Amino acid sequence: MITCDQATKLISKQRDEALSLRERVQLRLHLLLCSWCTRYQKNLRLMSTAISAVFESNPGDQEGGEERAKRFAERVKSVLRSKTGGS
Amino acid sequence: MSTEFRSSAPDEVCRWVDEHSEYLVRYACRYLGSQDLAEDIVQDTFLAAVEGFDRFEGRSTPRTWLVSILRHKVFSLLRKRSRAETTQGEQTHGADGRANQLFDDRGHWIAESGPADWRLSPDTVVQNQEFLSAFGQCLEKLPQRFREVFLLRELDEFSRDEVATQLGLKSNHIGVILYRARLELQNCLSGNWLNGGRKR
Repeated sequence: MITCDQATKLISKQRDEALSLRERVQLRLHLLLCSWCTRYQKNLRLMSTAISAVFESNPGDQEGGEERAKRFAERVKSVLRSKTGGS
Repeated sequence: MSTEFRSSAPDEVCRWVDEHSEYLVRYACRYLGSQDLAEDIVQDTFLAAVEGFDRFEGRSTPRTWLVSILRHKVFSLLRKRSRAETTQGEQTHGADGRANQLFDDRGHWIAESGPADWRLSPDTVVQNQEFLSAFGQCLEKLPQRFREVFLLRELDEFSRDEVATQLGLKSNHIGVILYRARLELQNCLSGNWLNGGRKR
């Protein structure tokens, strides 16, 4: 029987490549008996699902907030206009 | 026709600045860990967009195109940093340092560190602002290298081998970093996440 720390390694590995037959069997057996690792696997899946949503969340969480974002945008636009000789 | 096109480029790109700069800075910030650096790179991105504007031709959305330019610059910087620095972030955690605190010497979860029940599903997790905010904070706490690798793999969905190539590292090493990054993020979220609890 594999241990939990071995199981967490397989749980991580399976997200990136196919496990061998032996590894799949070992992991499946362990998960049947271990609710911690079953939760671990579930939580990793939730993290994968959530990651892109993290980047869509509110503007307020950036340092300096909206003020800074506005100032930055203005600065960039004036750099663009000066570089291209536009109005 | 091409001179007309060229003269509208800065105006069009200025509109894109209003619409997309905040998103791009947030994106770059997550990889680079510094808002100042992120802003510099995003500014370079818009400059490159003006210069390359005739290559754009509207085949993708402006955001997609801008993100691809940004990514190129961000990854090139990450590669340079990867080559320059020693594996500092990993050394502070030791060979398996952090992992040892989560498992006892028989390889079982130590009760206080067992994964919590987050009481979320794939549908509810993407809507839960508290969780997303906690996730963002846990990401900030990760060592730089762990964060880069995790985001390249999980956010940009590069394969493990592709991440290895991007950063100039071996694929096995990326596997180890992913393992440790996931362990640490999960642990951070299980510890800080308000609704769930560490109960068996």
